[in-house]
Amino acid sequence: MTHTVSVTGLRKRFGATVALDGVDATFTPGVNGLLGPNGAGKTTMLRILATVLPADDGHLEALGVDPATAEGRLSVRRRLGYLPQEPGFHQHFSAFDFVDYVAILKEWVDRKARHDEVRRVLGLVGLEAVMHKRIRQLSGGMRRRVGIAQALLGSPDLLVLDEPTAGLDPEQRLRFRELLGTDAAGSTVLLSTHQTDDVAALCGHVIVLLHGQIRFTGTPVGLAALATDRVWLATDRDPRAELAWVTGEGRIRHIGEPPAGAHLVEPTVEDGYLVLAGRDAHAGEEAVAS
Amino acid sequence: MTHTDWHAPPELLTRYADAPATIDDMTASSIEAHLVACAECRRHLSATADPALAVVSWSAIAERIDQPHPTPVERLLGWVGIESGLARVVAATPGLQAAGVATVVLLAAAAALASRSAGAVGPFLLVAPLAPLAAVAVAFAPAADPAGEAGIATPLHGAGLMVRRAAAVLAVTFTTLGLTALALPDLGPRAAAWVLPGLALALGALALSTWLRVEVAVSALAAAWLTAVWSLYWAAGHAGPVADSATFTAVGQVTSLAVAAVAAALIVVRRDRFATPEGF
Repeated sequence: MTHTVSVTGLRKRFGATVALDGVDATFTPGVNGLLGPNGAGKTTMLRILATVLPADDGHLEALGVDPATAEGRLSVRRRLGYLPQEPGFHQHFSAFDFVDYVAILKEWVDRKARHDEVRRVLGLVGLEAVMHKRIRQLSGGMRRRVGIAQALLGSPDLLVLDEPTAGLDPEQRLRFRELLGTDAAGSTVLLSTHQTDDVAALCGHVIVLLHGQIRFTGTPVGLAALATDRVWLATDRDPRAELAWVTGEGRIRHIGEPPAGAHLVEPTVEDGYLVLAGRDAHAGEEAVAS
Repeated sequence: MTHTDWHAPPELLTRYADAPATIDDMTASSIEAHLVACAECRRHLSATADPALAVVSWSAIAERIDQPHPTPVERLLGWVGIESGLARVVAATPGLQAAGVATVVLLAAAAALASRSAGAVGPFLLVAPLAPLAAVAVAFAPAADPAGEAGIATPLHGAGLMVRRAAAVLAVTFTTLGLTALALPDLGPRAAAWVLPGLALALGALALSTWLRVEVAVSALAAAWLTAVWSLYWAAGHAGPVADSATFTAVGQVTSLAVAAVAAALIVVRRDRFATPEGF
């Protein structure tokens, strides 16, 4: 499938901290997930893709144009929905006022059509009943849904969502997944998350970022496959494992080189991600030691 | 709901749904009162009416209910001919919210009080140009936009919106200062000598904010202003009142005008920087 967004040699530095270190990636219509620990560069990458932060170096092409130019940026912003990691909310705005405000900024000039669209997107995220409550009176999960609603205005071709499921309860997360499958069908969705089960359920394509560099790009199944024959369950903790934790059933799940006769299990997306992150952390320790 | 044995004639309900203009107001009111009490007639009406009509009607009702209440600033902007959507965006600028306006009013009042107690216009002239600077700081500080980064990633965000917001904020600030100046002890022409320096500082801060964070630009210009006034005053032997400082003479006014013009030119040249503020 033809890509709709591509980045080449993307670099961004904040003082001494390198946030992105030469990232090359392409994205196609569908849901594209960005996985990585805190500080890996996910938010920086999404902010650059959302045209709110310029890159220090590298090239970005989105929806067939170059957002580094004024015309290109305007063209992308007209077809973009963006949920920042921390949306700003006006103290006195209701959910309706806030989404209406963003709709004005998105050039919805006709008031009646704009208000219909505001009601539509607030309905999509299940906030019809509280749309006239002030945002400061809403719960964290509801505020997140207000943020998602404004991003969905006009069913944009490109949706950039920074941790959209943070703060949502399981039912709301399910609803969000359905929403992306229906309202955002045909759009290119780029989302960052810490929830590997969201990636497994939502994404056709996933990228793992570590220390500002891409360490994996492929399908969720491919990510899970990285942990094939490297995950096992045992009753006691094995000190030779790279990672180990207690499961809900009280057994110990291990990742690493399994001992002979280990009870190997089917790896998940989280296992695949941890294999990468674990290797990376291990390499970091060795680098420090040397 | 109460049960009723009488029902509206079906052809009347059909006309009520499809051609309401053919029914007089009295009959329409009677039908509506009856519909509230009669489930059977409501069912009949639902089966008769065009579903698209219900969607349109509901949308119109929701529109009436959801109509945002314009703030006084929005109404004011509407009176001067600004379209309601743009008025809403401009009025949401923090500098036009209660806290921002209060900051400007307090600064202006403090400057006027200082002048009255000193019996001279000098303290007002010294402090008044800082009020537009404070207004710029409040209105354009990072994360000051009511929608934060979500607002930046929109087509309307950029130099055009910034100029409209700056014009609204500075109009409020200069009007407040102008009214406050009426309370000064000396209402001679020199009582207006703060206007051009104020404009130069405000535009200068906006121009500098294309390189620096706006708080840094505002702080630097405030310090530069106070330093310039006092150094010129002391350089002249500080014999007379502060209002006699070269800053407030014709030379100072022309210099302020030149600074304002250069700042405005820089804003135009570097307008693209307002679309993607670095360090947001």
